[in-house]
Amino acid sequence: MMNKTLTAIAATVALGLTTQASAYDLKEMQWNQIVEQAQKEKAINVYVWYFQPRFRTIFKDFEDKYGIKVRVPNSNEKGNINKLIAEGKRSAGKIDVMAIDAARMPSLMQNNLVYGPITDVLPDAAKLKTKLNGVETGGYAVSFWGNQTGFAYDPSRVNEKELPQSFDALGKWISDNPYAFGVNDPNKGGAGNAFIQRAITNMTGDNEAYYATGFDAKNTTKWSEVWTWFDKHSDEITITSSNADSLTRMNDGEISMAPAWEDHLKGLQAQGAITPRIKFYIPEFGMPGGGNMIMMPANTSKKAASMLFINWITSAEVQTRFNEVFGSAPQHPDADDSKALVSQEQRQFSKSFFTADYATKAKKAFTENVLM
Amino acid sequence: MTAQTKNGGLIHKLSIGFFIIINFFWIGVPFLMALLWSLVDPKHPWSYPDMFPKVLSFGRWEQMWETSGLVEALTNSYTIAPLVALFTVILALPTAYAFGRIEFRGKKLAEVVVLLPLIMPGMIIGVFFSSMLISLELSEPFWGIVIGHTVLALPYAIRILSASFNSVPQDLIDASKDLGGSSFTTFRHVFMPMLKPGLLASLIFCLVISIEEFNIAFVLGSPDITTVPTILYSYLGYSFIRPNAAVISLILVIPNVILMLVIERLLKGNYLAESTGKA
Repeated sequence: MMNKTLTAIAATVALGLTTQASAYDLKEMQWNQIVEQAQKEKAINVYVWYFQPRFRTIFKDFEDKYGIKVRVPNSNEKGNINKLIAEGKRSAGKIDVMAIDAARMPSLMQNNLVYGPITDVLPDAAKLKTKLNGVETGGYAVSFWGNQTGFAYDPSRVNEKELPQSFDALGKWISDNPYAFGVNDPNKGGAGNAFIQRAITNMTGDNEAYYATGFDAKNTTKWSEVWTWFDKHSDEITITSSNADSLTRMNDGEISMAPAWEDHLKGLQAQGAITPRIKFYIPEFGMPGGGNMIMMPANTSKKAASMLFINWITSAEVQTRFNEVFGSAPQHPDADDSKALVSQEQRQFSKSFFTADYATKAKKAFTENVLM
Repeated sequence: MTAQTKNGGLIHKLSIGFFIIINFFWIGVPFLMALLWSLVDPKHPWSYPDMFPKVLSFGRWEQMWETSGLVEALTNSYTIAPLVALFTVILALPTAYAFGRIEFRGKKLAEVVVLLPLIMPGMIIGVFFSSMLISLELSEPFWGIVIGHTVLALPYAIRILSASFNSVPQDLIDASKDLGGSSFTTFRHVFMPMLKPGLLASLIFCLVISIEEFNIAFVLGSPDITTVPTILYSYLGYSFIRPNAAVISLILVIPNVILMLVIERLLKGNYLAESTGKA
């Protein structure tokens, strides 16, 4: 009986403390108050679906600076989204900060799963992007990771003076080097998806509709020309199963050129999975660049610490570090991007990704007309 | 005794040779390749045109053991899975008995309803079932996962055990009762020998289902409880690094091999002989 009473008292006190701990409004606090509150919160769970071991190392700088422990659980992208949805009705979820593809944001915001707008609180918000890959988040998420697609190639097997810069030149290179060009299944990796989108715009003309919300089938009527091009080269192109598979096959000498992500290649090279010999370029006919956003769930019980972390990860200093370590494109304008795999001259060939409707249609049409 | 044909010896040798060659390529080569890849030094990638890695080391093993949280994941998975197997089989027994030995109205419909979870996509079950457990305040990670996995494994256990109950010959039950055997005696000497393979198969299925399940384990467990699939999904997806994946695969295969040896040992008994008395 005594034990039960003590337990009940302890539970009540704990509940009171918890309520008190989260009973503040970030939007009414000064930044120094937020920092002070954040340090009282001691630890946060940051969900990122890639390169977790390396993020853990980099996040130690945040831990040292603010005395707030950062835990990065092992996870994948779908798992993170599922956990966020499943915990949605809970008063305090386990996810404090989450990296996310911008395309996922609208549905999560509609379901009140995201705290915001965080741009009302972040000191450097004016310098940060809230729109990515055609999705405007209204300040509920900010871009923290820029990634660029291009072509990875093995310079020991590809003449660098003859790197294809136009789509016609690429077609000729593919015919002259059968099976040396790999394209990954767009359903299993964004690099292949990026290449197919550029094939569409280069062969049928660019269309503003591809980058705006809404879908009109009449904009896709000329796409059959693209599938004919792929069909013509079907015996010369190697279809790979994922972004990683393309780079792995290039490492093994099976193919010598393939669409890839700049940050993915650099990350794998840094971990000794891919030979550092492999290089990367953005052809003049353009390849899409995009990125990932960072946000905090509406039910995090550690809003101040989460906000402080988002401010830290999007700062010029950390974005410069990401560029050095991962090859990601900095998302803060004051950051240094000189350690990237490609030069600023090449980066001007960066294009936008299609919005979700046209991207999905392109993937589906490629699957039906080329893969099947 | 079988008669020896003219070329029987040759056929026997060829069969064994063929078996060894096939297994060498099917199991041996991938295993050796995984071992070789796991020993590639982190600072010296193995790439074309090198036939073999330039530098071998245990660097990857050390790195993965220290950074991946494998020990915790293995401990969790191999604690949760046996509990799930045990609970599932116990809970499945009454329903399986009813399906296997009793005729009742709506039996066919009940059998279909029980199997429904099998045709639902894992992700849907993962999200909504986890959400329900959280709503019921059953969100304590460890027991939440045990409950979730038990529910997921139940249809398999019911299906296998009902077939086992169904296969027990009625004349053996009648004989036991005619000879004055009590219900317990009949269960012990008639049902149990025939049920053993089904029980073992159910336990194995439930173990495997629990060890392989990701969605419920992740949604309810993360970040406090990490299981083996969480590590696997993390290392085999976007961040796929072949040497690291080789290390993880080899570490994970060891408990499974031990489990298979135990099962093999358990299955060595001749249940058919035990149940029918015929050697």
